Amino acid sequence: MNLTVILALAVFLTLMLLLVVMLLFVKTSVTPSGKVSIRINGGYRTVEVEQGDTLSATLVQEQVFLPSACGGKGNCGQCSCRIVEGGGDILPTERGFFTPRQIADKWRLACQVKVTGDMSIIVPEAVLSAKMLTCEVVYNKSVSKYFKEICIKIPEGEYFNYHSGEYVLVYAPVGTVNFADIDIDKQYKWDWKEENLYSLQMVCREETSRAYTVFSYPGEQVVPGANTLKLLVKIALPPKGWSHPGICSSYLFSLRTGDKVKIAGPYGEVLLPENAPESQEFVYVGGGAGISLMRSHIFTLLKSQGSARKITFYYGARSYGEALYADDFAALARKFPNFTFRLVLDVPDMAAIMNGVDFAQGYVHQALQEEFISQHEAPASCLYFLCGPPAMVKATKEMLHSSGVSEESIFCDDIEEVE
Amino acid sequence: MELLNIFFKSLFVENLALAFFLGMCSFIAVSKNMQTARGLGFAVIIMLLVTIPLNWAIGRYLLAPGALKWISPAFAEVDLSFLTFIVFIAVIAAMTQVVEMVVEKYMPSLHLSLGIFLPLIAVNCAILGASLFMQERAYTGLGQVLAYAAGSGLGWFLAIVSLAAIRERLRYSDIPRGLQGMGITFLVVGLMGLAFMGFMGIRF
Repeated sequence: MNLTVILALAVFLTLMLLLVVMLLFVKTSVTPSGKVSIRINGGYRTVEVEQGDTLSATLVQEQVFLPSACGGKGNCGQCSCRIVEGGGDILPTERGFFTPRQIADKWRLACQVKVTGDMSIIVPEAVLSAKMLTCEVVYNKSVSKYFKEICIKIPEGEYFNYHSGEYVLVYAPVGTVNFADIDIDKQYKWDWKEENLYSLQMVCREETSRAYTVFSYPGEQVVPGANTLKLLVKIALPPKGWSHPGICSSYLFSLRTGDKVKIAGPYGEVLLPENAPESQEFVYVGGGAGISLMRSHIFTLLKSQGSARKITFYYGARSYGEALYADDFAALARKFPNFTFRLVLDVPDMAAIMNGVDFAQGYVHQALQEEFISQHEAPASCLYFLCGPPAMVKATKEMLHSSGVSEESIFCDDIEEVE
Repeated sequence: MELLNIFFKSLFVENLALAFFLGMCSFIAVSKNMQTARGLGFAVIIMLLVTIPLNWAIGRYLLAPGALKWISPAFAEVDLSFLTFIVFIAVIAAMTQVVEMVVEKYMPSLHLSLGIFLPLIAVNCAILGASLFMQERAYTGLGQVLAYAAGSGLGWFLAIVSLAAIRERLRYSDIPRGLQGMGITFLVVGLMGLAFMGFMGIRF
């Protein structure tokens, strides 16, 4: 009996060892190696790289940072670029992201393309100016139960110029975050205890990046003389039945003043349209984490550019307590006559009534239709920016379509809140 | 003669796909058009030709009852056949990787047409099933095993390519609503299985 066990182990382990050795041997002798060259933007830069890795990972080593919200899994579609020479045929995993026209123009997802030979690629200009920086946290404060506002400082001497509406990628390093160690403002501690959040733990096994819209506006001063960015982060709690909270949001929540954080950017998504006539009205509809984009846009328009354009903001939230920065916007509306702010709460909220805050009751798309679209003489002439939870964006979009607003006048950015 | 008999028997009468219905998921999923069906068929042939002889040697010289006698007479009583499954699976998984890398390097066009199917084969039950049948039927020499492997592989290739051909034609035929898609495919596979039974009598 003993003999069988020992022999079984010996035979099994030897066989496995032989198989692994054979695999490694074949791998080293067969997989391509050696340098190949990648031409970027028709000779703007040519880099010599080792082959074998994905294009996006290879480019990162050459300080070219294609954006990516999914971390190379091929499901966010942000690392798209054109591969005009080399790279082989488009893969089935990429087809869904491109129109037939784009496929004919050789658009690909850089995270799906393996570098196996010389290539010539074209990336968006903005990507070449994007850089990876290690910033310092200035402060990290709770603004509501699930939201924190984080301010980070760009290292001195580094040039980092972003436009309103752009986003940065935040990299969460390998490590563990125990929710028990996260600093939460006193007034929300009880809620966290109540919901048993302190028992959660986030484990990050490989460096992970996620996109966050810059919440501050260009030129906003927090620390005199320093270039700072503000990010608004919602903690991604585990969906029902899961125990893993969001990687990057947990990491950002755990940061304290003075900590270092790695970011890359800026990348553009929903930018302020540059050539819209001054007479065209901008209508913002959103809520939740979408407030980042709204704040950056509206503050830029009003404060930095001193725009006289008519601007309307419909802010949807479940309750007054969750309507972050609603007071800031209300104050802004009092100061600038061309800015109209409308808070829309799901149900009448005691806190709002007590504070004498004016609000509409219902869903944001209903309020927008009743109070704005139906009163406006030409709702189809406005530009609409929708940013918030997917359900809100979808409902608003459908309402706008049925009111005759064309697809070109609507800019969307829905925030997936669950990772 | 014996080899030819084994070859034809495994090709037609004991066809992996149509007599034993092994590897059905890929058999049905990949037979929508000729080109991909051919790719997967080739991949199965290659994998069977590589893994069956290897598994046969491992079974015969390491795992079968008394197989370890060649090391020392003291091991004559040892029976390691309980390791068969896990070892076969490991060998198949490893060989799939090796074959994929070799094909990628030396036959890029074949690799392109096989695409995702080669890695998929690592979990294809037809491959493991063929190895297990090989053991059960107790073939006596490498020649017989190779004949069996070639026959089985070619049999599966033949089955999927004919099914793909039929399905390509089916696209233009007027099929009752309830049978469209999977329904008619299953019927076709069943009929093909009956047809292959007809080869039962062939002997050399």
